[in-house]
Amino acid sequence: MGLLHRRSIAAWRFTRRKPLGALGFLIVLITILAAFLAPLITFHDPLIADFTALKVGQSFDHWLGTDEFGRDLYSRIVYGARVSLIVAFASIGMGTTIGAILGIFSAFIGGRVDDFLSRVTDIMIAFPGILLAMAFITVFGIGLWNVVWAIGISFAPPALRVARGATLSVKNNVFVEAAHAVGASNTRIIFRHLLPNVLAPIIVVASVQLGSAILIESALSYLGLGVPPPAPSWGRMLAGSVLTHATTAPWLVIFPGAAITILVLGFNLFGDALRDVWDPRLRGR
Amino acid sequence: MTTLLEVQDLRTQFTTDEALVKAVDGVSFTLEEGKTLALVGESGCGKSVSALSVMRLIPWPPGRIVSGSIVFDGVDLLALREHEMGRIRGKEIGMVFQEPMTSLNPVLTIGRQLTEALELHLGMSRYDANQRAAELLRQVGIPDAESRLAQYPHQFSGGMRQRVMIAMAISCNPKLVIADEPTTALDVTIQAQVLELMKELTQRLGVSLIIITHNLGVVARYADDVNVMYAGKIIERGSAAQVYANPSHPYTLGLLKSVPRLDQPKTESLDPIQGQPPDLGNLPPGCAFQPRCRYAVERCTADTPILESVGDGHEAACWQIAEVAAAH
Repeated sequence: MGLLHRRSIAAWRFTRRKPLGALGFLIVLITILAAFLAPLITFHDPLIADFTALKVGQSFDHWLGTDEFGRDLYSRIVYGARVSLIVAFASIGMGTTIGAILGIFSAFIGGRVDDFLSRVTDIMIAFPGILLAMAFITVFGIGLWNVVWAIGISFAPPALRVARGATLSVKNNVFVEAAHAVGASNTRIIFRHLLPNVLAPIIVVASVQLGSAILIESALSYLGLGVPPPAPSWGRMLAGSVLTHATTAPWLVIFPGAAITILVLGFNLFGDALRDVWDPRLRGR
Repeated sequence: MTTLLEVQDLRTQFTTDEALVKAVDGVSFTLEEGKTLALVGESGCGKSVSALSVMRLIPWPPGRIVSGSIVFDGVDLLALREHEMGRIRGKEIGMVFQEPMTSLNPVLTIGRQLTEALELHLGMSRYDANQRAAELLRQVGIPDAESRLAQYPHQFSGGMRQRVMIAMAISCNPKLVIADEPTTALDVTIQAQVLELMKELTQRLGVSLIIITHNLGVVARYADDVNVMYAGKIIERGSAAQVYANPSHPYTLGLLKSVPRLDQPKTESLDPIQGQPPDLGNLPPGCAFQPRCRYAVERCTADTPILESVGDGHEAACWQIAEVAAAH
């Protein structure tokens, strides 16, 4: 039985047990593909204004119509997916990695270090993620990587908590003592023995948070704190002067909004299904 | 015969909220090269803590080695820095733990766990380490070693896992293996197999062995020397034959009498030791065994007995040795 064969069986089982999760995965996959293939599947430059075609409705040339500057809405949404996905994956990847490593470290060392990190986590969790991200942007200014950092930092605390809890539950196992007895250093024990044991819950947290990261990115862009123009961003496409055109060209609001909703839904469905499958307490429900 | 391990006046203590627990209180013993030493005693008597102290694996806080010296192969282990100790653990001293179901990491393959010490201490390449790991599995009697390396601990039975632990302990050709109740969690038939395997391997490889156990049958069959521990102290020591033929401490005598024997009539009832194990944070004055001892006299509550010779290399710590011998 080949590895590929086993993988496809696992994928099929997941689809049958969690059809909604599979749907979520499909949405995410299609979005990723669209973002990658953006130049191949769009026919207009998302940044070039066409003043002969302002706010025209859906047509064969402009599938989703054009905005108030005559830019092709379909192209802008497809290219906007790039921004959303880059921000989501980079920020969650960074935030979760930092949070997870600190969490394992915190639980492993214990004592005052653990107390300190846990209290800092509590304080950060007390703030809504969007507020933390806004504060960060206000201090460090706007820009793609600042948005990534801002969102990443606000998502590190939950990952830290989960990693810390999971580590606490495995660190007193005899195999950790046995690893010491074999002569492994603390660093080696953390990365080689503890990390693989706590990886599953961390991945689940990360996947559930991806949707929230996209929402926060959209919200930041909507408030003008996101990725700076002219790069197309779903959040900013809903903001500013667009609102004055919403009555005459409602598609300008509907399609970017739908794009956000569908992608966030996709991430949430997939993340929830992943959690159900990997959490033994929810297994079989 | 050269001395491999010499422990002098070892004291290991744990600080708890209520009391200072003297888990190991002035233990001294020596182990000759190639010999098997048994540490015997009931739960909480300090035998595991003694062994963990030798490995310097006492978790701080709350535990700490307060004083004493542990000289292993000419090196004072207590004077070593942590990273130097890391080169002794697993390389010079291997360890087998009590609980084979949890002493292997569930998410790593057997191969990765077996090769860890080889890569760490001997600097072997992944390929060489895998070859050696397969050879080790064959040595501990696991068939089909190559494919077994790619499997996870849950695919092994308890006895098999303990064999894997033994393979890990001997992987770097250590001079000493410490087995902390290696068979307690196994069923009886597997216990015998695992012990035979350890005996055979240690003899063939010339490894010294410390077995920690509360199973007197294990001691009789596999140990050269015996240290009986009670409340953090060694209360009797000698060769296995001496201690069995001529138990000189009331506690040792009590232990032997609480075990059914095939060479005694079935009608004879067992004679258990009265009372409860002592609270290490709150020991009685004098001899710690005195509240449970049927030979106790007034002196036992006042002075703590020290080890005195009762024969060639056979010592016991009791004020009433003569009476015990007479009763026996």
